[in-house]
Amino acid sequence: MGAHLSEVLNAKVTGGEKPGMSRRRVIAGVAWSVPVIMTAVAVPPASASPGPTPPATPASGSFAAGTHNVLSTVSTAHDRTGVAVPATLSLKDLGGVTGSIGIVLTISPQPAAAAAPAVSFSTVRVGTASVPVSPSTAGNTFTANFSYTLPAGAATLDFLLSGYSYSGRKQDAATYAVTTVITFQERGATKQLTPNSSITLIKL
Amino acid sequence: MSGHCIWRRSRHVAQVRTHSANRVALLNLDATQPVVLEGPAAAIWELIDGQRTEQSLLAELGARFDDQAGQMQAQVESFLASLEAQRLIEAVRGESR
Repeated sequence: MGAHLSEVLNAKVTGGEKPGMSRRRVIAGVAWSVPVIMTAVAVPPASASPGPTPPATPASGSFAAGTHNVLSTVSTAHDRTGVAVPATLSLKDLGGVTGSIGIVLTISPQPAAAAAPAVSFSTVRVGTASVPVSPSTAGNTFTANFSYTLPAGAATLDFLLSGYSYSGRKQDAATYAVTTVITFQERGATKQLTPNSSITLIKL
Repeated sequence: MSGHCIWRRSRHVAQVRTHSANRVALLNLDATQPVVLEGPAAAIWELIDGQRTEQSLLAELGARFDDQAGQMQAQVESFLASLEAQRLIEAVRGESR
C-alpha cells in the first residue's frame, strides 16, 4: 500500500512538470513557519445523559527530597555528603494558572538557635534552564526569591534545587524548617500555596 | 545553544498522529491537557529520537524547509525549551545545553 501510495503521490506531483522533478525535490523548500504548541480543547467524556461539570482541580505544590552534598563555607574539611534536602519543588494542576509564578523559600533552624549554621542553596532550574534567584541571609535564616512564567499549556512545573551549602562544621547539628510561599493567578484570582519541608544536619 | 545536546521524548507521553495532515496530538500522562503540533512543530517532534543532536536536527529541518527569514535556529531552540517545560521531551543524560 505504501508503494502504491507513493506512486500516486509522485504521479500527482510530477504531472505537468519538468521531467526529472521528484516529490522529494518539490517538498524541499516548503516555507518555514514558527513552530508552536497548540493547546487542545478538552472534550468532556461521552455519557448517556449530561452530568454536572466537575469542579476544576486547584493547583497544588509539594517538595520531593533528594540527597545532595552540602558544602561548608568554613572549610572543605567540613563538607557533608548524601544529605537529604528538598531537591524538587513540584507544582501540578496548573491548567487555570496564568502568567508569572512567584516563590519565596525560607530555610531557618527550628527551634530558632543562634548557634546553628545557615543552610542555603544557589541554583534553581526548570528542566535545563536556569532560573535567576535572589538570595538573602539574615542571621542563620536563608531566603530565596525567584519567579517563573508558566509556558502556555503547561499543567505541571518542577523546580530543581541544587548547590546546597552551610556556614558550619561537621560537629554542628540542627533541624531546619523549609517554608515556601508560592503566589500566582489562578482563574482570575490571586492564590497562594505554602508547601513545606525540612533539612536535618546531624553531628558527624 | 549547545548544538550537541540530544533530546528524547519523555517516557510518559502518549501520542496520536495523522500522516496525511502532518499533525500529532501529545499528552504527558501527568498533565491534564493534551497539546497538538502541526507542520514544522510536528516535523521537529518526529526528528526527536534520542539520537539526533540539535545540530543535526536543524540540518534536517534546513533541508526540508525554506527559512527565508533566517529565524529557524532561534525558533527551534525556543520551541524545544517549551517542549521541555511541558515535560514532553528531556535531554539525554550526560548532555548539556
